[in-house]
Amino acid sequence: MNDKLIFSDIQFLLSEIQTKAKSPVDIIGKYLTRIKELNPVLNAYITVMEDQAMAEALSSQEHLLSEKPIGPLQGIPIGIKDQVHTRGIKTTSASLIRSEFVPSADATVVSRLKSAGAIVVGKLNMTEFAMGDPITSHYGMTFNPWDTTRDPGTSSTGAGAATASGMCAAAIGEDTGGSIRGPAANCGIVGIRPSWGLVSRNGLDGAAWSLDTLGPLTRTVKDSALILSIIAGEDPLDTFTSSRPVPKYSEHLNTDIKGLKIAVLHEFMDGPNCLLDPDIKTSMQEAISIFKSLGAQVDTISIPIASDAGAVSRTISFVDRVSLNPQWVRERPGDFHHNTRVSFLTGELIPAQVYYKAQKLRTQIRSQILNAFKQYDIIMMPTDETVAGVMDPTPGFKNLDNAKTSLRKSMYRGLFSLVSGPAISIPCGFKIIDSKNIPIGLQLAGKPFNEETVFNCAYAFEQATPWHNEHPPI
Amino acid sequence: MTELNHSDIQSLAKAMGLQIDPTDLDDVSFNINALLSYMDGIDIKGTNTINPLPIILEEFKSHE
Repeated sequence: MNDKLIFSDIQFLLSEIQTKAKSPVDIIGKYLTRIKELNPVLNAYITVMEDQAMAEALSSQEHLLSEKPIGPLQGIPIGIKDQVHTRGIKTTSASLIRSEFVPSADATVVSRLKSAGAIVVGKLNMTEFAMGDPITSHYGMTFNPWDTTRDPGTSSTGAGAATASGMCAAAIGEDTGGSIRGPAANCGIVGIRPSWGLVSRNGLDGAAWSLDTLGPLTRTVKDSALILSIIAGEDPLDTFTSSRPVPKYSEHLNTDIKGLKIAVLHEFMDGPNCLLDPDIKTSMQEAISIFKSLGAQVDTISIPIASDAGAVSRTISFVDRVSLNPQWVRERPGDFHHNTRVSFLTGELIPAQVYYKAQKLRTQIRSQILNAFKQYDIIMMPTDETVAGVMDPTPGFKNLDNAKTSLRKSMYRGLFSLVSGPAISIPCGFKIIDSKNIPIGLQLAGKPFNEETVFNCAYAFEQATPWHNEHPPI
Repeated sequence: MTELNHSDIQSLAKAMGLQIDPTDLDDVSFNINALLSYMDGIDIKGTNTINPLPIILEEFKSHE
């Protein structure tokens, strides 16, 4: 096993290809071997596209020999979450209900990746219809590569596990209420939820139209910036893509954040609704010290309404999700996992005035966060209040308190889903449990469509810390 | 807020043309009661007079 190829960033793989030290066939072959070895352990892929990926690698190799222009992702192996359409390849949303769905066209993000030379190696496991826990997938749970008893993060479970363990160089996930940032935090990698409207959702089997975003999970900030600049931008097939020009984020990265103003939200560190793991709090305090040492100004601010973001985002996403396919829970209730069926039924029963109140609260929450962004460039908080927990395969909440806890905890990632701006999760340390390193995620959010500042802040932190060089012992 | 019992939930479901299997009732009850009690407890000044906007509209004027 050549670990350098498996765990390196995309920049290294590209340099190997460009200097002809390795060919796309070498690289795709290496990753497919890794998938063969590890997928039986981690269950990160629902479909492995071995033949197609090798055929594309050969074609990519011929392309290189022809001296034609090289794509910015030429020969790079990418995994795609299984709710994103891939032409001729099953796109199941990890469900029985969609188990035979074969799209006739690629999603816009997939076609843009392919145009850049990327090679799709497979479709990644997720939670059923991007809701609930890893146990809901019709194709079985995905396991965390740092500790296979633990949760890889939801809902882009496979995207997190595969990218962290070297079963792809990067993955495309989807984030409604935290589904890119959660797996990134739990698996010790980088995941960005882009501004709503920056990346086309054409060809996405969505969950909640006003919350869904597509974005990359990668091993470094630079890779994240590279992929986002390729998949972002106006798309006539998605009415709600912004017409703003897309910067080449990865080319503008720098580590100079002197004078950057960072706000830490009190409610997510010490607030009355917050039960932050002491080890995560220590990591956050260390992160604050690092940012200060890099010349940033870091202040603590209070926005009490922000801690209601979990209940608000869940109310909206439950109703929106079921409204897309209301027939399923009526005609095929037995074809859902119990937990997903419970979520769909809940979405059906939420009273209209409660949903409307959630939308009003969303507007208030967003307004107060955008006000804070008039003074600050970045808002910082943990990606979650605990590290990845041990998975319990038993369905159900078991009691009302567990349901309340799940709702409250979702405030950490729900907040920036409501705001509609970019939020990135980057590695910022480990909690050691039973001699195992369990990753901790740091979340940095910015003004809508100001991905550049978010990337620079994340890049400066990454380059000043060792965490991105750590890989799962698997 | 009064907690919904199983019978209340079945009545709501009936109004929506749904049947809830008895084995799902406990968890639907936990989920919706947690959500309704949390939402009921949020009392922020000015919420009633807000015009709700799920997205930031000014970004998308070019498509109008």
